[in-house]
Amino acid sequence: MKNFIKLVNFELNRFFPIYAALGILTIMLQVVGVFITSNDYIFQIEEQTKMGIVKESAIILEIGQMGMTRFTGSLWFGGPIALCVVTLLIYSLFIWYRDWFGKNTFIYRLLMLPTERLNLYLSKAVAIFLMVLGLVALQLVLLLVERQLFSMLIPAAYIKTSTISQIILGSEYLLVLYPTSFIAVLANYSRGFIAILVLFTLILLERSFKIKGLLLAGIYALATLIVLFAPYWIQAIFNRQLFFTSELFWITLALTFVVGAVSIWISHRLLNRRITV
Amino acid sequence: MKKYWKVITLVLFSVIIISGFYVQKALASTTSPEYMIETRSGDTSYIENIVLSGNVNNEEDMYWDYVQISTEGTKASEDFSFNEQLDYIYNYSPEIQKMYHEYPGFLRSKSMSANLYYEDEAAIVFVDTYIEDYQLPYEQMEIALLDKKSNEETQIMIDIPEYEKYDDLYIENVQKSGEEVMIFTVNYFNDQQYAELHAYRVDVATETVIEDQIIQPAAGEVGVDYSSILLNTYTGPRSSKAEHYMIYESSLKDEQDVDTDEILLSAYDTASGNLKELIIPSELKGLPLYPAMTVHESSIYYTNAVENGFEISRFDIEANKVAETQFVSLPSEVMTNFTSQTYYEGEAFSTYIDENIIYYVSASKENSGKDIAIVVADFNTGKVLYDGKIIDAPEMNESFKDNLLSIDWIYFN
Repeated sequence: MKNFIKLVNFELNRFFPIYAALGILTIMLQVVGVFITSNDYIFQIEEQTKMGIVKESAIILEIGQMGMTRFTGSLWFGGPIALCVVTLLIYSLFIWYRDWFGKNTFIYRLLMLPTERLNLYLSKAVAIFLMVLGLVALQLVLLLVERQLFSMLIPAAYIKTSTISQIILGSEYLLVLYPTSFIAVLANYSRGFIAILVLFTLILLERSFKIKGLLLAGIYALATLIVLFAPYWIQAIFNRQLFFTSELFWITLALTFVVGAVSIWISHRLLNRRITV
Repeated sequence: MKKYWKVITLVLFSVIIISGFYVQKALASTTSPEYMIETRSGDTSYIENIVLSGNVNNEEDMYWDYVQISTEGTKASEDFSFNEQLDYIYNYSPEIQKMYHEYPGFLRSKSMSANLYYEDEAAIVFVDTYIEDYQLPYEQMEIALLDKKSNEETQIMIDIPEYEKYDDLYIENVQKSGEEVMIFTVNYFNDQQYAELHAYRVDVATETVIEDQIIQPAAGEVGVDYSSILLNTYTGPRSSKAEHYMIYESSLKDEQDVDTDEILLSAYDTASGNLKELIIPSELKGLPLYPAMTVHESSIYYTNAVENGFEISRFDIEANKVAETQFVSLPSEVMTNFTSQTYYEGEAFSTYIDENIIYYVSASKENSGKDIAIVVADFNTGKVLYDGKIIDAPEMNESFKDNLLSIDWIYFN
């Protein structure tokens, strides 16, 4: 266990400067976005006043109240999130290939460590997963701060007060990050973690068999998709909605765990038998 | 330990913030809107079993949620179980919600549109159009019958007579009488420009269509059947009893140009299959379609909401005349909720009739001061039995107070 934690810490340390920069950039861009969105709204109020509309209720009738959805729907909010997602996706590939193609082919040193090789695989996946969770938590804190900032920057009469839950319900992107039910949170993030495991298995297949490995990785990816979407294929074949949505949710979740277990098993064998130093 | 500060900080930060958010959400009693029914006068026993189903929304926040309001309080979408939330069961009509709990096996692999179902004490019938390869026209209809006692399901397929004539077919209503199933459809042709209204009678035992009656032929070149409508489907929740009559209202012109004299009403007798024209006084035909008209057993109830009460007329379909009229007197501050248009310029109120008791519920609660009023009256005496309204519950979170509340259905537990 200690070795595993050491490896996770090691992986985090390697990416930490970029990860910290991502966090800081997200904070900066979103806070700047709050000021710009507030200024735009205040400018609209002033425009209305210049046109002779002075009553707050009349101005609200024209331009609406300032709700957080105006901000969460903007590029200032969505842009940094998209940047984080893309960066972590790219790093999910880079986390392996840098060990092979970086200076001194570092993978050989990693494979020589006196620990189970599977720990390498799992520690990389856990490191990526923790980084995702960290950014998701940061965004939650930012939402609270941004809501507070809006209430300080815009006159109270024009503010549409919302709870964090309401802000999340108003944005389909935020609903993916913060589903309304805790069961859905566990399910969504389990799926995310297993997706990382499958991606790592594809990388290990390619690393183990090189060009042939690419073909094997393609076959494994296809097989994974067939298994995960099996209930939907079955419905299409029978031309019927055979399952309730709730049943599809539980069946596909169970299949995701099966795919996760198979990916760990294949990766374990590849690391122990195919990848040699 | 110091060496691992990054991993420890990241884990603690993520776990505390994310789980803290969900724990706070679970503990907070006001994460969804809370309403209650306030009684102004009358006997509360009349509304004990009533459930008002509708939605709360706020355009500014792009927020929308389903709500059910009863004397027990408010049930929002998040108060449904996780599986119910996944199945969006709160989006369906009350009768479908009930079937989902009582007969989930029967609902499996079936569309959940209420117009495709018929239910009584003994059976549930489901009818849907069927095509093999997603290529219109529909060639067949599938019928599924559930015997509630034995819990046995029977499925049959029937060929649609002259199916090749139609481009599309929409099932408006399903009824059952003995061994016969009646299917009321709108059959479109010429790229949906014209439509015919059909009543198919199906003998379940022989799996054949024994009668295909054209209730209204297509208007052809004259015009599109803009306002041909089956009132039983559009005037409130379906009853769990067989309909005696299916009432059609039709005119051959666009709704905006139509004169009341050009509106035709006809009644299809579900027992005999006979169609007869109804002689409705023009002042009643001029009332807005819904919610002014409610079909109940062998009567059509017309309600005119005026400044000081409801003018109600009962049209007896068998006698083909207005049999009774009644006036329910109410103060103007109550009636203003029923006479003014809603925020969305929709209908002003819903009606539900149970024997001689009539329930009226106004459509929306808005910032302008318009309330959702609930009035229960006795049609025979004109007496107001209950008068109340929906108000914000004391525990209502401030952020929900500006939202618009609309009621779509009235039903009974």
